[in-house]
Amino acid sequence: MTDLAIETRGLGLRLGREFSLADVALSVPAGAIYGFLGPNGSGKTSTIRALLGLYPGFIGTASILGMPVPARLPEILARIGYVPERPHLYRRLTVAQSLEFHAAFHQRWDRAWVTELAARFGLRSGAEIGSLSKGETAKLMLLQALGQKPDLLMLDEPTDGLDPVVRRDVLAALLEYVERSKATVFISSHLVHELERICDWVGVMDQGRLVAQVRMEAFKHGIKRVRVPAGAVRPVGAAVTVIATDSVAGADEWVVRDWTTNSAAALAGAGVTVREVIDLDLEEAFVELLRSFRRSVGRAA
Amino acid sequence: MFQVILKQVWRDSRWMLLFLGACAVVITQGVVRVTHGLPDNDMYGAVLVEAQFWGLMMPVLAFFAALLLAIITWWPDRRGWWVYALTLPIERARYALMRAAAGGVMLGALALLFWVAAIVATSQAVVPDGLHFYAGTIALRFALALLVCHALWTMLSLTGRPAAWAVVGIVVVSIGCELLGIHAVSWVVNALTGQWSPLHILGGRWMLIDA
Amino acid sequence: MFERLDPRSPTPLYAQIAERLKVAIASGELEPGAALESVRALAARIRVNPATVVQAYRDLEAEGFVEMRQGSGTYVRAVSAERRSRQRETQARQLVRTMLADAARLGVHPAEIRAALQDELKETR
Repeated sequence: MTDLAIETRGLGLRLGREFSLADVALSVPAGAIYGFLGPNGSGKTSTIRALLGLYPGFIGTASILGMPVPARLPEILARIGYVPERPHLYRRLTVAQSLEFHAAFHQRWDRAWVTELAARFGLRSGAEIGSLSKGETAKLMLLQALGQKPDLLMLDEPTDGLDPVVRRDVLAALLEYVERSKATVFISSHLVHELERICDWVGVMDQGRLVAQVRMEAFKHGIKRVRVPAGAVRPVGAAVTVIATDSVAGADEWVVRDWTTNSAAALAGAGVTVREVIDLDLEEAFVELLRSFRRSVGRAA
Repeated sequence: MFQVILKQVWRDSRWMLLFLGACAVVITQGVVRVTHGLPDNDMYGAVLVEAQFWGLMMPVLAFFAALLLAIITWWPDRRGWWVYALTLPIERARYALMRAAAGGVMLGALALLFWVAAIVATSQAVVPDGLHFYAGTIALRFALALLVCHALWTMLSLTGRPAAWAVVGIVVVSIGCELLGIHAVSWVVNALTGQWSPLHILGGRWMLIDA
Repeated sequence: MFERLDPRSPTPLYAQIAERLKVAIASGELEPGAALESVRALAARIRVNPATVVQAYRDLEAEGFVEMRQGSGTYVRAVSAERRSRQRETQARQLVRTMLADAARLGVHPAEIRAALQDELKETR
């Protein structure tokens, strides 16, 4: 199991009266770019913060890079580059001073590369952090995270609210580093499109739970909208799993998961003629998945 | 690691240190001034009373200097909700110790300033017969008072409640009581500097010049 | 060359990348011996997972379009004229298939398509 960069079992967190996380079982393979999706408030940030030891107590077990959290946190943190949702750097330091401060705590600091990247990002070394724009702050946070040459990058909405130019620069630098270092990336976002191109694994959070965790290809191609004759009876058993139904102009539409090339034949065998199979993009698949999850939660309650 | 923290605290506190140093100069000069123009040696009593007034400012200076330094030292982390500090790859206790030590170094510098100010002040003046200057002793006491207050404010800062709130609370309540005619300030001061309190060092007479 | 890659298409991204490169090789836009962009540079430029680019290059190598030299990079191989024309033919066929599928969805009759195509070809000539 050492080839998992992050592994949690039964991870739960109680903040106040409610559980803000329950039974989260993450398995992030080493070397993957793992997209952590979910609407705002679904528990993405809480999960990340719990993993970094920012909450004093959580339920369940968690390990990062094979080391248990929180017992070996300093060692773990030495190998994690973290970019939080909200800026966390000292506002009264200048860019150069902040880099110097960060470098002092990180033994693997790559000064030459940081200098190059800072120039490419157009960061003025004498500028005070409090005076930087949102985009510049985001770049600086990523620069510091990359400069420590981490084995794992934990990025919490790193491009949220940034203009497209900055977003490109940030993603390009990230991908370049990943290619060079083979580091694992754990990146949370509610911007589904952004992750669509770069991730090879996806975890979906909603209401403090991990709804799904699959390879990106399986996620994108496993969820389909299937047009069937009106009034077709849902097959019972393992043929396909129907997670939602709609009726549109003389036909029914089913949203199915775990779709494979054999599924149409299987449905035909069950007496359902498939008229059309419609591909969903990641966002649509994501929305359908959340809808079906919320319905099942609603039924249970 | 300590170096970068020290640099940060120094940049944030240098003007404040300069101001506090100036306060030390004013206080020590004030004490020595009382010896000027004494007609004869019968006036010891008056001299000592006035010196005592100036001396009272020394523990006040120590108390507020430590408070201000604690605020300046911990403010950057507090402002960022500690996220940056807590995700540094270092034991938390060690980090807290280093930051507290950086604040301590600045206070050490202030103690040194105070000592120099006391020496300079006393070297300019003529000691009245029968009285003595205690520049070294008073500076040492000032340093110890800083140390005690620094430890106190550091602890308060780390419990998650800003040190400033505690003081603001005390000051507001005390002023309110004074306005209502209840003499709470002296009562609070007496309570805080009681024999069993670590702040006992702030109490009593602070005499740069004494018999 | 990589404009309008479509991450939502059912065709995986690596296949789309490989496809574009094949077209460029077949058309002579990429000449034999030319170096492809490094995995790092291409992944960063078009913002895809580096693993996706690697897979595209591997597929191209398996099909004999490029050669990956250890530690040096990826280079276009000399592809026979016959192979290049076959590649263009495949490309043409795919374009037509996409068009016909769209036409079917819009209810355009094959005869109408043929007429329109001949008209258009006359004009471009």
